[in-house]
Amino acid sequence: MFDIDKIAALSKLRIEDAQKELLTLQMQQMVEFVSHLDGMEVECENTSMVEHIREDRIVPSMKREELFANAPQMMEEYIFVPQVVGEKQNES
Amino acid sequence: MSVSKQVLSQYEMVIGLEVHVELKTQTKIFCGCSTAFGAEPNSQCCPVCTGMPGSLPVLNQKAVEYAVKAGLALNCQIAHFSKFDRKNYFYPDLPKAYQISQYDRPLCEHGYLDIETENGSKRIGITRIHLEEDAGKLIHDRNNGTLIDCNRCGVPLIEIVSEPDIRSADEAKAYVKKLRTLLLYAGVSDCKMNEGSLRCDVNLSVRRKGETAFGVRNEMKNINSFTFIGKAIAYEFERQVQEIESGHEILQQTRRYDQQTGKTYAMRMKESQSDYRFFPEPDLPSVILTDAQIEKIRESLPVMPDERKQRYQNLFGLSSIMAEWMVEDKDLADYFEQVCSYKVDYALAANLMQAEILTRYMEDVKIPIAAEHFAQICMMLADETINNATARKIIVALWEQDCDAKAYVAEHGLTQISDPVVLGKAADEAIVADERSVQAYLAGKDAAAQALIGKAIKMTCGKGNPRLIREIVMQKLLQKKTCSDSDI
Repeated sequence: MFDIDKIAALSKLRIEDAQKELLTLQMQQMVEFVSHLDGMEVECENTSMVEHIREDRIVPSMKREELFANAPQMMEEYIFVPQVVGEKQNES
Repeated sequence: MSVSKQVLSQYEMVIGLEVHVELKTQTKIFCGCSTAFGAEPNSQCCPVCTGMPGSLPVLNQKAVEYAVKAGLALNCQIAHFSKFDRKNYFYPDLPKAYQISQYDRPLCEHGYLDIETENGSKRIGITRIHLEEDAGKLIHDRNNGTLIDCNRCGVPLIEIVSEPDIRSADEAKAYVKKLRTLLLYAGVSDCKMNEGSLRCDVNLSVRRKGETAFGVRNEMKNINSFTFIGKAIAYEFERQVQEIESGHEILQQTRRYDQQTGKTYAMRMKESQSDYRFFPEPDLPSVILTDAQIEKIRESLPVMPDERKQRYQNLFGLSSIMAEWMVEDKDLADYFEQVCSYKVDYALAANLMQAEILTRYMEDVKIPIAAEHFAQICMMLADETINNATARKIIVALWEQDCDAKAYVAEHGLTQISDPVVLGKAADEAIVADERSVQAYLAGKDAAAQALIGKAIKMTCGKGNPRLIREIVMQKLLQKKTCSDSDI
């Protein structure tokens, strides 16, 4: 039912052969558990978008220090991360 | 690379373009941070656009409006129901580790635009336009690390995907140019390639002429000028043909175009769709649009370039090429229409604009000469109050300091001289002064007359009516010719 190797690859996870059987079983159990919801009768209507939309008006941004408080490492005005492998040019 | 022209001519390229365009909203797509370009790094960020736990996105109404407007400008069908999805990927340009995009229910589909090619008009299909958020800017190679500026995270983007209808670099450039013109008309983006608000990905494959199946395509990312679009396509076409001719398989890759070397380099193998693990964005409601809402947006569109072009051809009598040139820039076209409202000779005004305004014109900078004054110059040209050289002089002067063109002509004594006595004298002086040209003309070199006409105009300090001077000089030369003929 599950191609555990593919799911692991997509999640960038390395798993041992010995774990595969158990993980497959656990994944199956999780999906079965959630699939109980399929049997529920739920009444719903599309919520109106108007209530969940905002006007194009600027609100003040965070101070940089606040933003950096959540970053592992900074360099001047930038967040600093280890070099992204194989990319030497500004990609964006 | 060395593939002979003869081998290349056996192949054709198949191109589809993905163009990302930043919408010119004041704020980001899901939060109220400013989208202004060029701000201090990481100064326009908040918990939403930097993916802090517990923050929730709220859709910017204007972004939807602009995206719909773009769709209408590109002849798309607008979806009454569309939704957002998460596109998951591991790259530090988006701190959330996913991009909110649209997967299976895009806002706009099934559009097209028409380009002019050397073989006439060609229609390029537009598969879809979807709304998404931009990623942050990465700066590599400094201190062996990567620096992140999150200001661009969450700037509203539309991705415009074309059908694989494009067959040459020129068509690709014409497509992007036309797309840019249409979006500028619609007023949804400033489309500045140098600031990254219009970015182009080129998907290219090759096949032998006559084949109907597509080859394996390569994607070249973020090409940021018309010149580079042309160069990247030319290089990649030749590279792929060479691979095939050498018996190699084309691998589906994402490639980077290097502006310095003019070559493309493999960046990574192309991800498959499942790599992105798309799923519906649970934090945002679906986008539901009524016919009335769509129509209201349609009504806000200005007259689009193709319609204007038709009008300029039919009403103003401009040629197809002149009309196409005129509508390419909305500000120029608007200016032209203002000038035309003063009852000028339309073709004369168009020609004068192309000759004298275009060379000085810069995008986004207002033309400093009031349309009324430019119209005055056109009218004075038409009734021969001034000649072309004087018109140019006046434009140069008014470009620096705008004023009433008629008053300027009077004040500087620039009125064209049409008095036959004065012009006759100037012609005589020129003929006396340049005996060599006269002899050359008499010896059968007709072109020598041009030198004499030019000289005669000079004798009037450039104010002589060139049409009359030509007539008079030619008349005098003809007389000389009959005289010298009868001498023999």
